[in-house]
Formats: sequence, structure tokens, C-alpha cells
Amino acid sequence: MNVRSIHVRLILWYTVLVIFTSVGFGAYTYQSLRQRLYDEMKETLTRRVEHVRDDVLTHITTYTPDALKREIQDVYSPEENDRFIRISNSDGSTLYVSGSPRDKNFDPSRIPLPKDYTAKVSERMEQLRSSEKLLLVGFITPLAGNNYVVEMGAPIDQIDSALRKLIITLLIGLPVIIIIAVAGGSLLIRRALHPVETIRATAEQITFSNLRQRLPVAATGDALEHLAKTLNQMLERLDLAYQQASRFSADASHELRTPLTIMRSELESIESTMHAGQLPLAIRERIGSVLEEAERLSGIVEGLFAIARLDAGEAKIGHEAFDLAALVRSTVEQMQLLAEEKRISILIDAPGPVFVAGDAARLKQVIVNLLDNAIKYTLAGGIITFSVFLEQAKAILRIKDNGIGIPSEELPHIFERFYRADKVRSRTTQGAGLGLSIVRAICQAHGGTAQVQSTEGTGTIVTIELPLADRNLQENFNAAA
Amino acid sequence: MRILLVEDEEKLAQATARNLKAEGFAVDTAANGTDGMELAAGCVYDLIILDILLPGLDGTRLLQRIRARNLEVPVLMLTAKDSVQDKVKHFEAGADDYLTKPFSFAELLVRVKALLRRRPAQQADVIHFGDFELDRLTHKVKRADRRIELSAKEYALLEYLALNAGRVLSRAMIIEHVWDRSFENLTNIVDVYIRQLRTKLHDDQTQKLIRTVRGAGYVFGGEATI
Repeated sequence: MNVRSIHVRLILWYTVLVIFTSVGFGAYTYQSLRQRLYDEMKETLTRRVEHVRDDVLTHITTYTPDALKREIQDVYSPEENDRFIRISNSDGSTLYVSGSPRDKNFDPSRIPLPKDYTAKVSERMEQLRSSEKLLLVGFITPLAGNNYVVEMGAPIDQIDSALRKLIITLLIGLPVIIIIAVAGGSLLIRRALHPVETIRATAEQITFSNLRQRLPVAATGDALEHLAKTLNQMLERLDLAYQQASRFSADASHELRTPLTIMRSELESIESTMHAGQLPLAIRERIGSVLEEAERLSGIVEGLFAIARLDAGEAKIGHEAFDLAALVRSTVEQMQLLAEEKRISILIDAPGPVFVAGDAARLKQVIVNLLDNAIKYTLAGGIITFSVFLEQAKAILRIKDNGIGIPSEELPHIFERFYRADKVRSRTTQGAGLGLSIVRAICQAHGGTAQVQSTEGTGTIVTIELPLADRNLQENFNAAA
Repeated sequence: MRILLVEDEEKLAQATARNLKAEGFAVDTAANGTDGMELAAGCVYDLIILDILLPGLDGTRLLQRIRARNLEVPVLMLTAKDSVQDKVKHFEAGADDYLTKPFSFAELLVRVKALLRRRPAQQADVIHFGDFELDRLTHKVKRADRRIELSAKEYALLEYLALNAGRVLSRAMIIEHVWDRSFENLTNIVDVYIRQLRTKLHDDQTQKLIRTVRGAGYVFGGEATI
């Protein structure tokens, strides 16, 4: 997983956020419920204590201990209600204490007397045993020279168990909620980023051969639409600049032709007079040399012009369907002797016809240039193999030789204009390092690609990928065959 | 022989005219299509060399007008446009040959001479030349009654040379006729095939059938002049 990708980062942030929010919400719920339950219990106890004080304590001197006990039990029945009631004097004597509750969940006799008789109202928590915990509310009432304390208490295990249940619910519920939220969020993020992915995929396909293509603009009125529009404007400028550069190459090549023709004409006319012996030998040789260079310059200009026109999309590219395998066979046959001269064997591995849509004359040029290179850079007795086949709905033309190969540091440059793999050796061969550039320009003009793999001393493989002709045609042919 | 050269590049027109004159031709030049048309209509020319990109009336339209007047004069087109489609278009319009700039004068001269001496080419089914015999129906080649085995391309090359016996054929012309323009940068392919043909046709005693004309091309048999 790529942690730096915007998608992953968004999901991570979102997950952290969801976890924090959920845990916070759980903690808040727990805390507020707890507070509320305690407050309610305290309130109830306080109300009851006030009742006991008002109804019973004010008449305390009129009650006998038994009457007092009866009165409280009749009115409040603390044992039935799991309540604790005690009336004590600050001198340490107890006037009344309720009995063991029905549930036996606390022992009233173990509850210590209050330590402090100064505060008017007191509340405290008494832990009796591990499971016995009571909330006690007490009121101090001075009466006839005595400080009486009315206390009422209730066990808090119900509150605790309610809170425990809440924690269990949260512990089960929160992870489920988090998982659902993260999964949903991830889906949403993916969908939200989908237009970006579309832009990326389209932008990736735009090369110099299809600079006129534009990115899809989603009318969302936000940053995405803006981004797509900005990128399209950038493509527009690139396209324009590229067209101008190509136009310049084409114009320059075109304009160079006439002066070159004149130069050649003039030099040739000097050369023809020198045959008549009117010029010294040294000058004749120099003129011959200049003429050779002028011829080479012509070749360069022609090559550049061809590439410029292909790159600028000006060259007319035919789109008839033809069998690439047959074209390879006929072209190889026409160059057979060039290979035989070097005792090089040419093998053709084309099991069936492969129909491509394109310009047969230009693709023939591709085959000629590739085979010419292969013959040049394969030693006597070598083998050159052509393969033509289908792969993933593309036509593949592969030419493999066991020649001298290309050093790995030069491989990335060999399709560049004027690049020569071995500057000294290829100086003697024709052309100007434009052969492979022309190959690539032709392939790209067809919507195809040209790639090269090579190992020095072992050989070179050039792979051409071209779009297939209409699939129906291919199938018809196969059916007929 | 009188040649009309219609070319708007003044220096190119001058240089070409001077070279043609040095070869013994009478040359008139016109710098635009309208003047070219006037000259072509007014005088009788043996050949017209026509640039395609011209001010005023362009080369293609001029060619159409010349043909519309039923002038049978051979026309050689000069152009910078080099696509196959253009070539086909101009042959359809009635051009007899086609040369792309930048061309070499030697190439132009070979083509001019070929057009001027456009007698009916050897049409016989069997071409004889001394003890050489080429049968165009069976594609059989014999030298001194000895059968010579040739590959298809070797035969096509030999037939083209033999049909044009006595004419100098440039390497570019040979490539255009025997191969096609896809091979135009492989000038050595012609030399390799000629070498092969020579080994098969000649032995030490026999007369050389294919000669190299320096700077121009090859010629089959005969006394070719250039």
C-alpha cells in the first residue's frame, strides 16, 4: 500500500477521525448517563430524607422507639425498597436504624455513623464490602438541644450494572460503527477521486502523436473542473508549441531543398568541366568531396522533412487493411541478396496473416529500415528473425538479430534524431541517424509504438506494435482459411 | 533538341539551363506558369521540365493545360512534394517522369535523355544481345546456350536493364522500377544486385554486358553516351 497516495492518506485520516469521534461520543454518553443516574438517586434520597425529617423527626420526642420503628416502616418500608434509614444523635446514640433489606445486598449494621455533624447536609459513599456500596444522604437537624442526623442510603449496584451494560453495548457497537463508517468513507473517497483517475488515465495516453486529445471536463464547478480545464489549456499550449516546432522543421527542410539543388547543380557542372582536364586534380578531388557532402545533406533534409510531416500529422497516412506478414515476406525477398552477401540467414516466423490498418508503403519503409540496420550490424554468418503475430488485440512485428548489439547506455537514445550508436563506424554508412527516428515516427503516426531491447555482443530485438484492422475482416479471413 | 524549363527559383533555373546547354541542348526558361504556358503554346519543344510550385499558374494546372491542347511533348516534373499520392496524381495529370528536389543534375540528365530518346522500348518477347538471350515469357536467361538461374529480383533487374539497352539508368531509376520508393535510401542494394548479376552473366572470356557509368548509373550493352 502506497501510504503517500492521496487515496490512502484520506482514508487513514478519515479512519482516525471516525475512531476519535466514536470513542469520544462513547465516553460522553457514559459520563453523562452516570452523572444523571447518580443525580437522580441523590435527588430521590434527599427528598425522602426531607420527608423523614419533616414528618418524623419534628415529633421525635412523642415517639417511643417501637412507635418510631412502626411509623417509619409503615410509611417508607425501607427493607422492602432496598433502602437504608437511620436516625442518630450527635452524641453517638442511634434512635432508629432500618433492618436488613429483602435482597440482603447490604448489612445496615456495618454502616458507620457519620463522622462529621457540623455540615447541615452531607452526602457520602460507603464501601462496605467489595460488592456493597451505598450512597448516603444525611441531614442534620438541631432539635431541643440535640443534633439529630437523618440518613437515608441506597445501594448503587444498579447504577453500576446499568453503566456496565452501556460499556458492553459501546464496546460491541462502536467497532461495528467504525468499520461501516470507514468502509463507506473509503467508497466515497474512491468515488470522489474517480474524476481525478479519469484525468490521470487520459493524460497518460497523451503523447506527441495525439496531442490534440483533451481531458474530460466534469461540469462540477469545483477544483476538479478547474484542474481539467487548466490541464487542457496547458495541452493546448503544448500542442501549439509542438506544431510550431514541427512546422518549423518542415518549412526549414523545404526551404533547404532549392539551395541544395542549386549547389549540387553548380558543383556537378564544375565536375563535368574538370573531366575535360581543365582543373587540377587536387581541386577535382575537393569538389568531389563537397558534392558527396551535399548529397548527404540532401538525404538528411529528406529524412527530416519526412519525420516533421509525420510528427505534425500532415503526412497522409493510408488506412487500408493489409496482411503485415505478407508485406514482411515480400520485402525480405526484395532485400535477400543484401543478406546473402554477408551470409546472413533471414527467417520469417509468421504462422498466419495479421491484418493491420495503415499505409503499406510507409510500413514497408519501416521493414526496410529495420532490416537494413539488422544486416548492417549483424556479422557474417548471423541470423535475423522476423516474427509477426497477434498479442492482446495488437499486431506485433519483431525483428531479432544476433549481431553486435547496442550498449545499454545508448539504448534510450537510439530513436532520437541524429543519434548514432557507434559514431565512427556508422559514419561510412548512408543516412544521418534518421532511420530509426523515421521508423518511430511512422509507427506513431499509425497509433503504434516502436521499442528496442539489446544486449551488447548478443543481439538486438526491435518490437513494433500496430493497431489491428477491423476485427471482422480478420475473423472472415480466418473463417475462410 | 529544345527544352523548356519552367522554374521560379532564378539561380536554380540558371544553373540547370547552363548545365543543359553544356550538354548541347537549346534551353528556354520561364519564371512563372503564365510565361511557361505562352512559350509552350508558341514554340515546339522536345521536352518540358516543370516545377510544381510556381507563382501564378502552378505546375499541375500548367501541365493540365498543356495536355488539354493535345501537346504530346514529354514532361518531367520537378517538385519538393514527395509523397506517393502526389506522384500518382501527377502521372495521372500526364507527367512522364518525376524528380524530387534536391536532385542531382546527373540524375536529371539521365532522365531527360531517357525521355528524349523515348523510342518504343524493346517490345520483343525474346531479347537478344550477342550470345545473350532473355525470354520475357518464360523468364529464362541464356548466355552462350548456357542456362543462367536467377532469382525473381535478379531477373526483374536484368529485364529492366535489357529493355533499356544502351540507355544509362540511374540507381534511383532502377530502384523506382525494380523495387519501389521504400528502398530509395538503400542505394547500395542496386550495386549488390548488379554485382551478383555480373558474376552470374560473365566469365573471364565473355564480353561485359553491364557497364558502370561513373556518377550516373548503369548501362546494359550498346554504346551508351551521357
